[in-house]
Amino acid sequence: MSGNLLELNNLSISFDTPKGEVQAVRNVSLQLKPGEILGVVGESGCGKTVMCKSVMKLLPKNAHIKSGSIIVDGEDITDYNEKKMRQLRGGKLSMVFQDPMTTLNPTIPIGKQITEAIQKHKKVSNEEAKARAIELLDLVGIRDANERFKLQPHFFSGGMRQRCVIAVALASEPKILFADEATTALDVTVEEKILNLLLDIRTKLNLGMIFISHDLGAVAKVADRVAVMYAGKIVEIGTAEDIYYDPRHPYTWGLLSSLPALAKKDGELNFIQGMPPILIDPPPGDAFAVRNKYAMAIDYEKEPPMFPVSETHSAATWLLDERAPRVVSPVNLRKRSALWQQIQ
Amino acid sequence: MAADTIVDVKDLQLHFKIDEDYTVKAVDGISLDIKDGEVFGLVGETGCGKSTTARAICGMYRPTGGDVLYRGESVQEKATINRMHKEVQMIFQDSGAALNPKLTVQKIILEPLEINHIPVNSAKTKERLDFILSKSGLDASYLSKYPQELSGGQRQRVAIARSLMMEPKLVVADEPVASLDISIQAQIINLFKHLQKENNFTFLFIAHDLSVVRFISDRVGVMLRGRLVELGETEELFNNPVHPYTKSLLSAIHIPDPEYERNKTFLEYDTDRQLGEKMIEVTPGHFVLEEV
Repeated sequence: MSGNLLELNNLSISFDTPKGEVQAVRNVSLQLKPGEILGVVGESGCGKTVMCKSVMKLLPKNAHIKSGSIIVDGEDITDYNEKKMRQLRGGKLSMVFQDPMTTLNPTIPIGKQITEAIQKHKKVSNEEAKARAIELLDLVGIRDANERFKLQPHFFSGGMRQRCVIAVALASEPKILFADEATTALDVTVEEKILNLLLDIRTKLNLGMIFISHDLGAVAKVADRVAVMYAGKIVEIGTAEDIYYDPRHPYTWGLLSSLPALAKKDGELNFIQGMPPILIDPPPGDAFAVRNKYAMAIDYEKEPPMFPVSETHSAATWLLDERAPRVVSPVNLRKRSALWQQIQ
Repeated sequence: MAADTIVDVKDLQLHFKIDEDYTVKAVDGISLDIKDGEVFGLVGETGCGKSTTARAICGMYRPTGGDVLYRGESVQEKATINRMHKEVQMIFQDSGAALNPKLTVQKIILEPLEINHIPVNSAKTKERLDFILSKSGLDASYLSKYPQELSGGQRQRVAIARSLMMEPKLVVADEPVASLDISIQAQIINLFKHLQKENNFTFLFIAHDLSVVRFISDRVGVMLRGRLVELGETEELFNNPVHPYTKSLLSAIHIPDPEYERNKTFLEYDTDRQLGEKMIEVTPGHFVLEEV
């Protein structure tokens, strides 16, 4: 066994719609190790959520795995049916969604919602389950857990509710936690606390975590490795340092340099022209080509493979081919990588 | 009042009475002034009263205490409101809800003129429409479309185009980029910056994303629980925050820099803490709510 908690091998997922086949995830491969947080970034509709939900098998009926395999903890779950998935879901796999209010049942006290999750997976007495639930509430930083055990979700603030959701997700001692925009709806100070909590839990429980977000700042805080997705594909993957200080794909350049945090005050923000392609009939070649000012003729014809940059870092762009002309990244990013190399 | 002040908020209070013994103090005594031609950023977390303040400035609520003056006249006067209908425009977060789904883009953009009895078929209007469209990054092909045929970024452009048709003196934008993707967000922010510079309107920009506010604003006000806790020039406030809440807020900003993010310390602020009464001027133009 390779020691990977999760492996996706050339996974492709399509949706059958009246308008045609939507290729939401195309040929995605990635690995996740225990205790590792993988950040997945990209714009809306790039397939980040579909990729995670496919592992959980939470996709609607018109979705199907077209090719590739999903391996969880050494077990190939690609063809698992609903009955087998129920064991895994909330068992080895758990997920935290964006909106805590719709995840929790508003009529049931939060304590009950946690014990329910515990007892679904383990045969324990009510008292034991309660003790464990209070332990979990403590772990996610809810004070006076004993008192609050009996309260319904509406007594809690948004951040507290998200803590409860995380407690429910951790109830069955999962090995992999998917956090799908888990902090997006929260205020920045609350978000900061929840991110610290996720980091804390990771260390305490040695969880593998996939952290999906469109907020590159939040991902920078938690992720050990980062995958950048575009039009259903992973276009660049590497350690957080690789992606933030030494990005190679023009799309990653575009994303990073369009952030106000990295822009000069009197200057303008860079932005990526155009719109992502519709995935019903993805264009041949590199899907990013039409928006890419560095695009070459081959980008319109042939899909670029993943070019390795270093042991940890690879990117799918023809610019990394040895025959490609040398291009340099935007100024503000170049300065950063120079600075980074100096420190190194 | 200085001659270059366009909006003067004087000890504004907005208390919403829910029932006999429960009142929501959405805005609880804030004072600020917005100068002609500046970009004023208002930041704060959910429920701090920033949207309520913006709406009160536009005359949409009747203050329960204090007043808002638009060019020296109270917004509670009918005459001021009539004037503001021509001179003040708002842009909202959810462009899907802000645009009438039954109208074409052309009708939407021209509606403010119709309401103000300006002929919509004149050559001058036509010229203005073309001009505004190109400035907003749209073209004539959009005019016959309906809002639901457009993407979020395009809809926000239509909302911006609509707000500019009347050549406004003041534009109030409530979280205009919060629901957009990063690259689209960058385009819209650039657009705001351009248009503001060219047309020189005053811009009240409300957002919870502090890096966006820092990028676009000349001055910034920080709100907490219906109060203004700090007010100052953008760079002064971001570099030398004084109030502990501002410090906490700034320390929580996420920057796309893993090294910085992993090593930074977050300064926690107990939001139940009692707030002071008076604003003190620490350096010229930089005001802070005193500590209890």
